[in-house]
Formats: sequence, structure tokens, C-alpha cells
Amino acid sequence: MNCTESRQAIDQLPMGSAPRGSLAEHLDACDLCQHYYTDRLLEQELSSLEVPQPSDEFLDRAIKLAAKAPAVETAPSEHRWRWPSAMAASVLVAAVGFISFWEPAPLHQENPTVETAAAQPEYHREQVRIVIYSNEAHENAELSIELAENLELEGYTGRQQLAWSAPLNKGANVLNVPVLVRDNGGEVRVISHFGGKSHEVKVQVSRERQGTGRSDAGNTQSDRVSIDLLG
Amino acid sequence: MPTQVDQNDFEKRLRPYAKRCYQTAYRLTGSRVDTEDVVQELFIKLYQRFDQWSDMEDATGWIMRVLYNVHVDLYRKKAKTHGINEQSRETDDGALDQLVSGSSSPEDAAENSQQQSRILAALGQLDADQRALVTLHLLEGYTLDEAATILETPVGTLKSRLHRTKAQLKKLLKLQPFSKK
Repeated sequence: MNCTESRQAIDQLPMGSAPRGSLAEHLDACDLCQHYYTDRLLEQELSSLEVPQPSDEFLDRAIKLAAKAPAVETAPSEHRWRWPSAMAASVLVAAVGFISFWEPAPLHQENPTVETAAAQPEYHREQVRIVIYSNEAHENAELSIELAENLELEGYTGRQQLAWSAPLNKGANVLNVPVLVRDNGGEVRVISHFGGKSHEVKVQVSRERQGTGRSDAGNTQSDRVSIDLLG
Repeated sequence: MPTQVDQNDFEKRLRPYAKRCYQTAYRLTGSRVDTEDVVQELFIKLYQRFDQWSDMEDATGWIMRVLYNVHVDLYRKKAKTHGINEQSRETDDGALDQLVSGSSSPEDAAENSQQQSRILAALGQLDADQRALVTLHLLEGYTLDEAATILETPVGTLKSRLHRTKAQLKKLLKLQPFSKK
């Protein structure tokens, strides 16, 4: 039995049936087909998940309650979403825009860490600097930034979350993010995933106080916030 | 929402999506209680932003995006409530029987068969982004391109995340490679 025949046989296996005969012999010797087989098992397991139907009573109640919610004004500059082309385009713009922010700096630490710093506000505009330290280069690090409701990225009106991939240099990788702060501000959350591990750092940004956590003293231009994470 | 929304108009537009929203929310949360919380919050946001989706021919993708954001918010709140330290999270390779499901209440677990509980417990070990990917791509059949648009994440990132997530689920569900020996 070759791999093509093996996969056809796997596709035809009834749920819960163990491979036998020539298929069993092929699987015993072929890692790729074993991987295909376990993928199929996983799909079968997941497809058996039963999903309850909502009661009409709940839906009626939830819809009526929602219609009593207070109105929220949208920002004048907020453009209306168009599915899917506009969303796809905005993802691309976001990814390109943020990748271009990388500024490799000649810093190096033994373990990868993530650092953020928020500068003094000027008319509610904060410059948040995110530094991701890595002890080696990574081609495809996953990065995401999430903002609380009172925060938004300048130029990305109405968007509280962005995710993108970017190469990491060995040492420090700097990302400067202009954040617009409304009211009491809120939390900026940055998550990176590289080298098989995830790192998360949070910083509170507001008009009165920028940043929480360990802070470096003596910088008159900004409140530096540094959070070391396990490498 | 600059102008007052007619409640009947809102209900008429939302109805065709309502059940699907509930089912997707359940796949994301694995709990009836959390599902109802997510759906309620979702409906409120859809009402407040009615002018942004009301004239769309098919608003499914837009609504799924809002649903995902609501789910992530709830996940974060729950993580804080449970005191989870997520500063550095590594993939948990532990066996399922050593894990305690954080997503299903005892009532929910009792409602489900052992198999259902087993799957929900495994899904409960995924983070919000992984869970969303599994829900959209593996459970609801969205292509990776469609999921990438909804999750606003590059397809390449989703591919690597999918690879990791599947490997994690196989371990949690103890789906061992076949051996005839």
C-alpha cells in the first residue's frame, strides 16, 4: 500500500474503527500517514461535540435587553466595515505598518524579555514604546497588541486589537506605538510568541499615570516600564 | 449609533444570525452560562453599532469578528478572576486527566456525556486565540483565509498556530499514532 492508497483507506474508516491489514502495516512504517491518521481522529473527535440550541425565550430576552442598551457615538472618522475586502485590506495595512516600525537597537540580554515604556502625554496622545528582547533571531514571531476601550492606536480608529507577524533580531527590537487616550485610559496588552513560548506584558496608560510595574527612575521624558519575563 | 434604532428593525435584522451566534459562542466558551454572557454582550454591541452592519447583505463575517472580540474580553476577565498569571505561558503538555477544566461549570459538565466533557476540557486548555481558530476553522468550516479576515491575523500565523494547536489537542485527547504492535 502506498501513501495515496493509505489516505484513501483512512478517509473511509468508520469512526472508532482501528486500522487493519495492509493499512495497519503501512501506518506502522509511515510517519506522514500516521500524522494524517491522527489529524482525522482529531477532526472526528471535534465533530462529535454537540452544541445546544438556544431557547427562544433566551434569544427574545437577550434581543430586547440589547435594544435597551445606551447609545454609543462612533467617532466621525470611523469608517464602516465592509466584509470581507475592507477587513482584509486593513489587516494588510496594519501588518505592513507595524512591521515598518521595527528599529533594531544594539541591546542584548540573555533571555528574551518584553519591555514597554509610555511617554508623557500631550493632548491625550501617548507614545508607547515596546521593546522585545530576544537572545536569538526569529523569522516569524507572532505579535499582537490589545487596547482597552478608552485607548486606540493613532491612525486605526475604532480598533482595539492588532496582530501580525514580524522577524525578530537578536537583541532588542523596538516598536513605537502612538496611542490616543480617552477619559481615564486603560490597559495596553502586548503578546509575543516566538521560540515556542508566549510572553505577555501589560501596561496601564492614562493621563495621570503612565505605566505600572517596575519603573526606571530618573527619566524626565518618560516613565519607563519594564517587565522581565521568563525566557 | 448616531440615531435612534428602531427596535423592531434591529430584531428583524438580528434574528437570522441569532442562533448561529449562540452556537459559535458555545463552541468558543464550552459553557452555557458563558455562552449566554457572550451572546448578551454581543447583541448589545450589535445594537450600538447597528448602522455599521444593518445594510450589509451578509453580515456574518462582521458579526463573527465582534463575537470574537467579546469572547476575548470575557476570557481575559475570567483569567483575572481566576488569578491566572499569563505573563509567560507555555504550551501545557500534561495529560488530560491531570487537568481541571476551567471553562465548564459542574452543571455544564453534568449535562454532557463523558466524551463531550473530555472534548470540552481539552478545548478549555487552549487560549482564546487558539480556541477561536479551532472553532472557526475546524468546527465551523471557515477557510484559513476567511478565519484570517475575521481574526485579523495573517494566514501564515494562523497556519503555525493551527499546527501547534492540533498537536496540543492530540496530546490532551491522547490521540496516539497508530501502532499494530
